[in-house]
Amino acid sequence: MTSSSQRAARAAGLVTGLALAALLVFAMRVPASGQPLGAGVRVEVQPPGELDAAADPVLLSAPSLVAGEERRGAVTLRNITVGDVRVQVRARARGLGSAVRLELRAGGRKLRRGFLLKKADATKLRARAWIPADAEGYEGRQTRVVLALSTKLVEARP
Amino acid sequence: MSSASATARPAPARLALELARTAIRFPVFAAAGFVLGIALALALPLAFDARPLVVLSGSMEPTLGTGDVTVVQRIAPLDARPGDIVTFRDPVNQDRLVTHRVRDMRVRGDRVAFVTRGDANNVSERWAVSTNGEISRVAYRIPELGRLLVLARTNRLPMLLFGLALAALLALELMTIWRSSESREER
Repeated sequence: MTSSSQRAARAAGLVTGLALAALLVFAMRVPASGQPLGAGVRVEVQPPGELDAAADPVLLSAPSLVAGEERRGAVTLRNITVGDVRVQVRARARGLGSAVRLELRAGGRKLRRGFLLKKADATKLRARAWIPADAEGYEGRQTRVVLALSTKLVEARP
Repeated sequence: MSSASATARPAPARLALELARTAIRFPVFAAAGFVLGIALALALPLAFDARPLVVLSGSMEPTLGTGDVTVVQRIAPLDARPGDIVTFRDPVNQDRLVTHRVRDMRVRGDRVAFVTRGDANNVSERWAVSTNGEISRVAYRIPELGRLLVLARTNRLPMLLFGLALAALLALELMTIWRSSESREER
């Protein structure tokens, strides 16, 4: 009986010590941050002299866009020429992976090639950038899109 | 010469002695279990691509203190996230390891550019590593244990070990005397 109680005391002590060590390690763990790492998306506009735009050329800036999220931005463009102009948009993208999608709209329509801007008229050029919910491999990547605008005077019909 | 009945202690006294022995054995074995547990917490991670490191500066105070031991797990750079505490080679001195918190990270081609900073620092460091490279993330820490390991590098350790060995010998001797008196009583 004596030896059994001694054995029990040893075993209980050992188990208690091990449990305390495990508790200490558990309490002192440094959990991974789990903070999402998004993609950086920046869309800039380069307007020509025929168009008046805001001083800030950044149309859209999303420093950390994650899957399933979208960001919108807009810039007002005003025709300062003597006639109507056809505005052409040419996008130069750097680091634009398949994960990041970009949509441009002007005058309420989805933009494909360009749009018509009447004399002294103004319109909002809107951009929407998003990453589909099932996208992968976009984490930490940076995308910069420069929208180079060019204009062509449309001759007035008699 | 003396008979067992003459030397045997009365039952209550024996019970008290027994209780005293149990009371001593429990904390002794609890301490042994604790030391064993900590040793396992440092040794077991080695089998899982992790390793213990001693914190030598206070740049990560109060999260990591000087003298703490951190157990770091090897990870791919793309698995790190802002907010993680990572260990990497010092961009200035490649022989030195630095453990700081990730503030920002960007992927540029086949390299990951990090901005890290110690919680107690006011200057960030910028460094990059290949996407196939390796960094480590702090999994857990054991406070103050690193001071013992640092002590191992100084000449105070032999004195400490000598003292511990002496204490162990003394304890063994006392246990032997205790046990022989116990067996005499039982005879």
